Amino acid sequence: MADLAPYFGILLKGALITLRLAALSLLFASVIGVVIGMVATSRLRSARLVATLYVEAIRSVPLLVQLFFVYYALPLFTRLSPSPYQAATLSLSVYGGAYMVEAVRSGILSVGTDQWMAARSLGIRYRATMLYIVAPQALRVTIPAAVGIFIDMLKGASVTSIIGFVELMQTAVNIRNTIYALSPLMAAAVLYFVMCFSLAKMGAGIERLLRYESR
Amino acid sequence: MQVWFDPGLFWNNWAVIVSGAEVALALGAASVVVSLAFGLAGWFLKASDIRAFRWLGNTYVESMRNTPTLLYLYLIYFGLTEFNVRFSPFVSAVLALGVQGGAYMAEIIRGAFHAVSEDQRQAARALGLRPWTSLIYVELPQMLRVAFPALGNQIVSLVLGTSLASVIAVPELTYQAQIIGENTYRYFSVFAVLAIFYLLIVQVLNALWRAIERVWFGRWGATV
Repeated sequence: MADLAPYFGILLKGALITLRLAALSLLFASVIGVVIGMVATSRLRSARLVATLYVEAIRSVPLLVQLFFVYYALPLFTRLSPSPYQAATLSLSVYGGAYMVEAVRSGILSVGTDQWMAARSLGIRYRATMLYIVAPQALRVTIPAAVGIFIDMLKGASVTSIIGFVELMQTAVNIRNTIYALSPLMAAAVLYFVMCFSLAKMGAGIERLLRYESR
Repeated sequence: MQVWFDPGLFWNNWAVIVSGAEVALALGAASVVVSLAFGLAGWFLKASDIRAFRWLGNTYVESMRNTPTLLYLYLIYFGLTEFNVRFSPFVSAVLALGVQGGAYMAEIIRGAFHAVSEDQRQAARALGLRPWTSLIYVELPQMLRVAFPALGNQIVSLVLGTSLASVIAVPELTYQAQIIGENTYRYFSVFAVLAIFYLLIVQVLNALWRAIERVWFGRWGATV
């Protein structure tokens, strides 16, 4: 453990890089989630099918394979040649986006159709109904789910070390290869736990706060 | 000009790809079994009357659920050598996926236990069944029905998790694909086919699981 002392700083930096990657990806995933989530609740069957295909395809393929695809295969047929960081952000966003779609969809569906009909009979259009009536209620379901997705993305960010992005996991492995001890991996475990566990507690708090009965 | 999709690559490496899929499925199956064992143990600990056991169970579940799988692969494969314990890559991967999956299994089992109504337990007790007998004959069959869809999701996520075992050189699907990719530089074809393989495996598993649920539980399927 004493060997590890000089490396605490870079381990913390690794944790911050992991957090930043996950947070940025969460932002993009939320945009994907809201847009495709509305498509997924559309009246058009073909539109819903597109959303389902996206969600199923992403959720049925390991994140690692998606990452490989973006990092190794994308440069072969496009002009893009993403850096490990860009590839990591892109795949994690698309991956998290699929889960976000489900969170948004279940949020929108948690608001009963009677509210849509009431709004319709008052002459309120789709956009206003969605924005002022459905969205505020849908968020009660979507936000706690989003916290769970963020935790998964934080853990998933560790996979990006495999394409050579140096975040918390890779930092720990690098230190291990320098000092040949178990302690860097254990320290990384503690850092992951602290990040994810406090987020999970926060998520549970938000969920309690947003419940109907609590008001 | 690079050929986008090269089917020849696929036919030439068919044997390797199939063996990779077999290893991936074997790894998935083994880790499902291990995670069920750990899940049951974790649940017994969490549900124990003894405070120290409860604490142990909670610590196990929470620490596993809040750390990435990759960490356990590294810890078991590289870390244990420090204590002169050496497992083969395959066994390390089974242990890593199984021990971590066990925490999720424990939560699934706990949820199912609470879903089975208290009346059932009281009725079993009133009929003179002992707690263990009642658990095995009255509660577990109902718990299985409640937990069935969640168990299916967990199995799928374990199968997807097997791709991570490629980092410790378990010759499964992703590992084989990577090797073919490195040798031919046809990354698009290789990873497209790889993704389709996982997609098929997962969709077949899902369909199979739903079919089993329908046949086994019939119209009781969605009920608690």
